[in-house]
Amino acid sequence: MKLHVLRPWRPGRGEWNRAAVYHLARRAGFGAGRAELDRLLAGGVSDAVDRFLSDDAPDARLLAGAAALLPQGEIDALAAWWMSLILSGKAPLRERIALLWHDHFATSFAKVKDVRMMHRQNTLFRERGLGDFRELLHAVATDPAMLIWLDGDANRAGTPNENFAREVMELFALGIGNYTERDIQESARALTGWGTEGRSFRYRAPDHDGGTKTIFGERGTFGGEEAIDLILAQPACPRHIARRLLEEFVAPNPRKEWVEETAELLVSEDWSIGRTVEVILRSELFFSPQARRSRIAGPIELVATTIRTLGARVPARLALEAAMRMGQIPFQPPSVKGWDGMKTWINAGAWVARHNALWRLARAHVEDTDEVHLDLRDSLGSPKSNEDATRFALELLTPDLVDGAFAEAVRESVRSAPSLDEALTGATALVLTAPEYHLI
Amino acid sequence: MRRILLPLGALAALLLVARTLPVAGAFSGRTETRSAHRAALAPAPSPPLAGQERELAMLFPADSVLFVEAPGLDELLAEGTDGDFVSALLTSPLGSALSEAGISPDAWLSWLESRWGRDPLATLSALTDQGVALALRPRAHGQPAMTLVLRTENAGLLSEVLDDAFGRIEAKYRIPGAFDEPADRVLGADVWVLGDELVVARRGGLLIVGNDRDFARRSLELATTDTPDEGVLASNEAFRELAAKRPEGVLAWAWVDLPALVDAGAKDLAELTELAGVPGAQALLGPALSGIPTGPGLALWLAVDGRRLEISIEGVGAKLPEPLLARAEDFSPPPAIADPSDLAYGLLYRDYASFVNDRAKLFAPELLPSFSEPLSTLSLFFGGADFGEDVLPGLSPWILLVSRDLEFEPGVVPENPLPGLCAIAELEQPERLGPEVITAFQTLIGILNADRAQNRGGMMRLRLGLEGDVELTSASFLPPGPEDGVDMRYNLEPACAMVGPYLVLGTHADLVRDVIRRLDARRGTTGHAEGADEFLTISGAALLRTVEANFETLVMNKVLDEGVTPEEAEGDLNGLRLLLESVESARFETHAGLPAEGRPVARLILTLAEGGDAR
Repeated sequence: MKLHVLRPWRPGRGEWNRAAVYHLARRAGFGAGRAELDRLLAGGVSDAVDRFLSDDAPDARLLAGAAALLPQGEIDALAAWWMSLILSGKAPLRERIALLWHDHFATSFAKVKDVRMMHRQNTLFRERGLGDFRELLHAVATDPAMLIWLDGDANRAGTPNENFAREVMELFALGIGNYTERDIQESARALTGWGTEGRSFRYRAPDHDGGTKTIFGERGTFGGEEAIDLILAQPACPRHIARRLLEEFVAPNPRKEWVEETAELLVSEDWSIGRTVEVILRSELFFSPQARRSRIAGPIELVATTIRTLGARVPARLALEAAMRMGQIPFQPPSVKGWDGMKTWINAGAWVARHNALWRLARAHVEDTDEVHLDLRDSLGSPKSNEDATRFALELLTPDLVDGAFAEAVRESVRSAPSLDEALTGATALVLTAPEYHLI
Repeated sequence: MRRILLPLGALAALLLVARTLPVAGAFSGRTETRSAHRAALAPAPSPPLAGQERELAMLFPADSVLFVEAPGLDELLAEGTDGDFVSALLTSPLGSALSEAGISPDAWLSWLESRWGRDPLATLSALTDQGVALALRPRAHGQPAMTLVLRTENAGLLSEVLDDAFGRIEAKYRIPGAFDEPADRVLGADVWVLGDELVVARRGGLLIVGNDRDFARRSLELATTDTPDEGVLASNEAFRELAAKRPEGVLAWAWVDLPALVDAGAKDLAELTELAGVPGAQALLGPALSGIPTGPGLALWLAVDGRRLEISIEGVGAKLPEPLLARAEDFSPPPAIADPSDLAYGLLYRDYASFVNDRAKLFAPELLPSFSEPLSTLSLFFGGADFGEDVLPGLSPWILLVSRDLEFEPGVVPENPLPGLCAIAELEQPERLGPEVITAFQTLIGILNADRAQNRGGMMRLRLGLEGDVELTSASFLPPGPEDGVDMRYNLEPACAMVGPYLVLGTHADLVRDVIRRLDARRGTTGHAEGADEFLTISGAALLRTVEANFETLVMNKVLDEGVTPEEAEGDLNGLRLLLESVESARFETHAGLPAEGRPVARLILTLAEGGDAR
């Protein structure tokens, strides 16, 4: 397929710089420390993108460790476990995609009330999130947590429950305006009989409505699988998914031509999310000014990228707690729409929580805490003076803002710091709590 | 072992302070500082040094807030690695593992000997043969003032060791000859000043090291005063009372002036002193433990005896809640039902009847409303009878605790196999109160079932059975429903029974059955009912089995709580494994004593496992 909007980026002289690699690390993964950024920078843009695509195996020990936590039945333990996988830095793109699908197919423990089911769904997003979207959608439709969340168990012949059918069209696959109420009602009939038994999917034939349905103008005695195939066959479907990917990796409110080309790419790549994301990450569009700092970082990505960029050691439970205070509780999205994101991330309460958490993290360099370990001399690159402290902090945390008014304001604030450590802490805290830093 | 090493650790800390100070600058170019030192330690005639018979506590000023003395240190050092306790430690799995990791004490001592040119343990033993002690006094700013006093009969050895230490400092900081002569001579002692703070004074076999010149000088003055009765630590009444009853053969002991420490800003300690007046803390900790920090002084004792290490903490002048201790003698002593396979076996003294009914005497008025809701809730389980007035007084103030691993059939082992726990108490009128308690248990299960049913949770099934001729009521979970995040079937099967006058309540029916059998076959009594004696004995081997059975869960929780990698967490927990393998048992005991005495004691006794000769 001939690419226009998503044509590969051929950086001009000096364009593949610290700011570019920083953008890649924050968007394709959850940030990277100074040494890793240097390595990525030295290898060139192609190798750097390869790194995010090829580093595809989560920490096996951590991954398996979930089995030891699930018997406790605590959703916070599962959320902290996921945070520990994110903070481990392994398979960063895979974890980011899992987070994206968790937001997209938003399912809440508040109703499911089963940690093992939530873990199973999380595993689904991790294992198949970069695969064929059609398979993913089919798998989500039979996922026990989703069936409970959207009342699959209550969807029976004669008394169809439209919840799943409605959300799969409105939120998961098509978007508003691309279906009719009749399509929802008929799809709901097709999906009757799909439910759970224990923690597994169970098809109950007696509950299935075997009558003729008309979905998107097609007539037949459709079952659930066929209904989902009909949804996937709608032209709106690849566009809906393309838009979601562009919002995540490029910018909110993507232009129509971006969406059209990405949708076409998705279909031409046999619905492979991984290959579509790869093209996006290598594209000129991804590295364009329109994509950089184009959206407000969500709490989990903000907390994780900050910890990873600074090379801090923070217990996963503490990192999770910070993200939760900022308004994002993994496995408990506020509604089936997921998190609203953007400006809702920085309402008054959330902004104070962000400020306090990041300020405390920076202060860990000079204040003894049992839980958080941060050595800014090491993470920023052995600065020797207060002037260095500002420059190094800016280079690591906001490399595109090393010069200018913002940088000067930070520089001025720490110029007379009583010690280098205080200067490092001050500069880091000021950068982390500046609005600019929260744009990703 | 930390307490054993405290005086040595303090000496090391003082030397560390010296190491980090600009030693050369303190002597070479700061004449005004030297003058200041001379002014502080003004020349004086040399009065005779007090004899070695003078207690070390007589050499510290009365405003010391912490005093540590190690009367058994020289003996422990002299025994070296051949001493019973140290030897047992070294041959334990923990000692063997350290040895295998290249952290062998023998190798370390040999290395030290090669560097120092002396047998380190023998030298330190000789240097402390007449005692070593340390005292602290808070300062308005910075670290507290600290003075270490060491006495030896080997004045020549002390001189040599000191010369050697000074020589090494001179070489390290390239200030040859800086310590050839003392900076001053005060009260017959040679005085050196290192850096801005550290003072070293030696006179014969007496060595005084401190980080505060005035505080250290007071010790020197007290060592050269004929009648140091006034203004010495030993004149403090609480101190004297504790020191007089100091047990024989302790390795080290410490005295803490708690109110002074609190006044100096130790906020955490301030909270400790108020624990006895907090209902939750009092209910949980009991009168002895919560009463220890309520007096003007605290003493800590450390002793080793064979494979045993004992750490005791004792309050002096403690305010014990008399109403909570009054019924200690009203009930017969608890039966002896311990079994070697138990993970834990203990006896609690908690007079909840007096705790509830005398609450107005025990707690501040503003805390009393917090009793109302739990009491009225509990009364519901007893058919409206007043829980405080009608139920609790019939319950013995002692409660026996039994915990052990549970045996599961193949295929029904829980995912996190936890040990079971059983509590046994005596009822004053078992024929009246026994059925009421059993009914309350059944009511509780019914209410829990109703609650779980509302939340689509799995229900518990009540069962009645017989163990011998004892009726056993138990409740077991059905297989988990879709709303049950946790399969509780094997980790909770609550049961209760009346065995004669004894009420048995446990987390698992199997354990309750076991206890019923034990009560039938009991021999004698467990401990005794003097005062409010309590103890809890934990078996290292049994606890190790629980750790092993839940190892991966512990690893993952550590990963999430501490931010370590799974490998690091596993390493730490392997250390715990070795420790548990090395400890035969840990026994924690408390004794409240009589309220008039005000001397509650808590004691931890660690007994090392008998090991092979792994060294």
